[in-house]
Amino acid sequence: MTIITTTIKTNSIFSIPYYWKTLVYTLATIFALLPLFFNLIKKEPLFNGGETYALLSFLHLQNIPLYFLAPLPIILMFFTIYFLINLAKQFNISTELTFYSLIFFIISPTFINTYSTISAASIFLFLILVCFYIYNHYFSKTNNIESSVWSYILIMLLISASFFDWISSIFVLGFLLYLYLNSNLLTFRSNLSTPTSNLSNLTSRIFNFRFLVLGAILIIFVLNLFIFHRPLFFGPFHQENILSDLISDFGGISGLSFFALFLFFIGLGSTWKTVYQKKTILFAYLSLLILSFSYYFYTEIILYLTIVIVFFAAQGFIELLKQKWVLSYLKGFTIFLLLLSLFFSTTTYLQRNYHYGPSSSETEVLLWTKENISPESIIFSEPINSPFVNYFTQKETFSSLNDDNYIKKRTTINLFNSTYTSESFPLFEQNNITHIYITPSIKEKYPAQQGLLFLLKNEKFKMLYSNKDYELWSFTK
Amino acid sequence: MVREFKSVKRFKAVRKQISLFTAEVKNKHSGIILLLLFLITLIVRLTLSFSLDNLTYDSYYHLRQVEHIAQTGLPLYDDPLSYGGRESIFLPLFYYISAFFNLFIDLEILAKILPNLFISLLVPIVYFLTRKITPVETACLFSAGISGFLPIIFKTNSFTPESLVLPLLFLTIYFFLDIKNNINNKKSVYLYLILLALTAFTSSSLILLILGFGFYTLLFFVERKTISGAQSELIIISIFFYFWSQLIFFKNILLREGPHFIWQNIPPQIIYNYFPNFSITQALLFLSIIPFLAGIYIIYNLLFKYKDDRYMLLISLGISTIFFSVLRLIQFDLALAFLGIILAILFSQFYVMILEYLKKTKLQLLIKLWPLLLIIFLTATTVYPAVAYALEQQRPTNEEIAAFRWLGQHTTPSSLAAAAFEEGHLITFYGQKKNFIDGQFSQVSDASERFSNLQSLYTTIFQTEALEIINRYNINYLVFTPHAKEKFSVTNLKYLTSQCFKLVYNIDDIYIYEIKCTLGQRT
Repeated sequence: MTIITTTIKTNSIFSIPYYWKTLVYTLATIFALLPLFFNLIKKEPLFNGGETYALLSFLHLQNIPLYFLAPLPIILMFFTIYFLINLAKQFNISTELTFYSLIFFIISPTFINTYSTISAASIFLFLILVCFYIYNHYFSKTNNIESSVWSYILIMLLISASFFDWISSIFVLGFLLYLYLNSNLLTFRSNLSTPTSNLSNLTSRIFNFRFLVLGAILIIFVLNLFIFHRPLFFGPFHQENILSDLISDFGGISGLSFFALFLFFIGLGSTWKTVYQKKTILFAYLSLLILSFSYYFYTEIILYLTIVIVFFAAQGFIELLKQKWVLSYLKGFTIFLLLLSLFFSTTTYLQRNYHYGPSSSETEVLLWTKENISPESIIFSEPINSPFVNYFTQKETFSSLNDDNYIKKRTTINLFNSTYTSESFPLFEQNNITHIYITPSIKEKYPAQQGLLFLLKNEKFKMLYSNKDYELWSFTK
Repeated sequence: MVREFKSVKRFKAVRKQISLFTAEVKNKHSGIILLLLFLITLIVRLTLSFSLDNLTYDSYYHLRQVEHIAQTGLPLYDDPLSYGGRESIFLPLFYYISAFFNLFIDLEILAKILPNLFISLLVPIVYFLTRKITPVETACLFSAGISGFLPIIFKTNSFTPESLVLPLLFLTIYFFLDIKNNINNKKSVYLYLILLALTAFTSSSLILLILGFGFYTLLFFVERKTISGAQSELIIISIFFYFWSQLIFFKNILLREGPHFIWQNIPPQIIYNYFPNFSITQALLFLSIIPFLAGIYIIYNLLFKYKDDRYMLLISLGISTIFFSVLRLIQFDLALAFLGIILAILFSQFYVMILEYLKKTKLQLLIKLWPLLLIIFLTATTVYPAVAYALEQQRPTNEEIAAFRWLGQHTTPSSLAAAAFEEGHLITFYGQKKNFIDGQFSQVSDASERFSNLQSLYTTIFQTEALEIINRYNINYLVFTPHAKEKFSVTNLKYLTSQCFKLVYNIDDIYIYEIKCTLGQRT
């Protein structure tokens, strides 16, 4: 494989230090821990955003204290970085490119958001990277297909990776298909190196391996289609917006700095000529194409897209560094300005990260709800609140963001905007809604003089509990 | 290919000829003519400005900022009066410069002199900029003259940062082109960077240059040419610096409004006034017919026939401005002003082409008459519409201003008054009272809702509806001026009763009502 050469002058302040891996791990730990640390100081719930709570509810892990789960994202982060470095080595990517890609990745809001919470994307990425690692170490290089233990581990991990939704299953199925087809190649390679006496033994093992792969494909289909009824996408857990989910400076929950995106374009410009010469670049371009297309439909895949974007951004950054500037006296200033801007976006993101909730006031109301209302209750609120309500109250919510039920979505809008009780009461009754959970965001979005907030003055509604603008109301039929 | 090469060669040869032909004009009187052009522009602008009473409505917002900086030294980022109190973040350089001059000149006089002086400076700037790309002295003087009298920038009574940003932008472009010609000129690099920083802290309109750079890079890429190292480095630093500087000031707006910040939170009901569809008719009217048509013809010629690198930046700036105006991503007035000046610069090339053509026809008399004919045509199509445009600027009358002054003197400090949204700044500037709404919509979360309510307040026939709005926003006074009558197409407010709306001011068809009722009870 071709080596991507991006050498930087050794005497430059931007040359890679020999302890670069330590630096990467340290920075990653700091950035992943910062939101948790801030929440700890403010005595807020440990994890921000809805995904952690949705995932924990999905896995029925509501009763495990959040503090016990705190190390999980950090562990995932450590291994992910380890496997990414390893993957870069497999692809013969230079140290500089690996280093800067990882640095840009670490300071991106996507990284901070993903590794300061428990997210399906980080678990999936981890599992896939482990699979790549096993494949590269025990199959691809050594042709050691006889290693049945690793075959089983690989297949098990791939089945686990397909657990969340159909989109991850499709990816896993693609990987399995590749393994199936590639077993022919392995057979051929093994034929050349194996004595004739062992050939029949080897052929049967390859047959077993293929059988294992086909079995895995079947298991994934059965699990997803008939047992778990997986959705196409796991999520979303926030109101999706293509632009602001990509560029964090526009107020997105994750994404990248605008400046990283600018470097990405420089990177694209500097590498496009080498697409057909370097396999890694071609692979990166193909990934970019597929991920951009998928991102258009589902912005929660931002983690994978970020990895590809930072790869190109690092290329762009190195291009800026290694190029001999005509106005050499401006080079340092430009790089300084760029780094300053990148960190500016990161710090801005860290400042507002805690806004994605839940707050301690919110959890107080929800925990009260858990203890004081019947288990059969159905709680009505904004769909975005459903992960928090589900997790803390362990009760059912009327609608959630990842709910595909069009009628429920329509009913939610109608209930929030209904002007007359004659419109809203039948809807509450038909859907067995017993409680209404009001948040400051709802009060901000909907006028107090009309719609649901106005109708709450009716005697059929009774406020059960409130804390700092978070309210729980009951609806009596 | 060969044909193209020949045409370029021919074009260059002709330009050389013309250069020789006009050499005697050069250096002789151009300095004096330029000075005269500058003075004429300035005098005409100042005459118009002082002969017309008061400033445009939006100018009073900027005057308040200057006044505050002059008094406290700090910008008024937490405005206690606008919308009853709101955050208002803006780029402060224009206000600081104005506040400095305010130390020597009275603010209302300064507001008429300073913007006109800034805009008149475009004349020498355009002249020197044109000289960078056109060797014909007369052509440069024509470009300078056109830029001084473009109708779209003939808002003589407008006190806004745009008056400073336009000269700054073109001065920045001048030094960028200067660097292209001489990369060892460190002075030009530093001046470019200083001007870039000044522009970035004056107005976000620097985006016009940044977008132009984007198109410039694209054009070179398409033509398979390479931008010089120094220029590409300056483009990169300009982009980084621009976005960094804007992020520092507008971080919170970006986070709150996301990509919608482009439209400055302008209510949908009037967004078309600020971001209208690009109209050729309006462009012809505001940019003047001759420079517009000549400019478009030159862009076509230089882009597709001669492919001359020297014009590439200006063409890119022109194309990007048109492109983003069509997409309604740039405010129309500013885009048109910027485009107008670019077309004025490119007009010089049109002048050269016509001269070359006339020379081929051997019509010596026409060659001599050509500048004179052009002056006549341009006066008719540029100067006249410019003066007409200046005379039509929307300004409050003296009587209206007197009413807002009265409001300041006869009401309690915490009072909140409602008037047409253009008059909102008059309430805060002259009345020093809180307003219900004004023309600065950005960073106001309920701007659109307030705009609809204002519409209802002036057009409803139901007192309950009016009182509901009045109570909701704690409005104490209602101002009803001839401007409001025209704006809302009403002759009077239908719901007025003497018990609830006490008439406290009634002079020259201007009425101020004090609200005496709350919904459900009478005080």
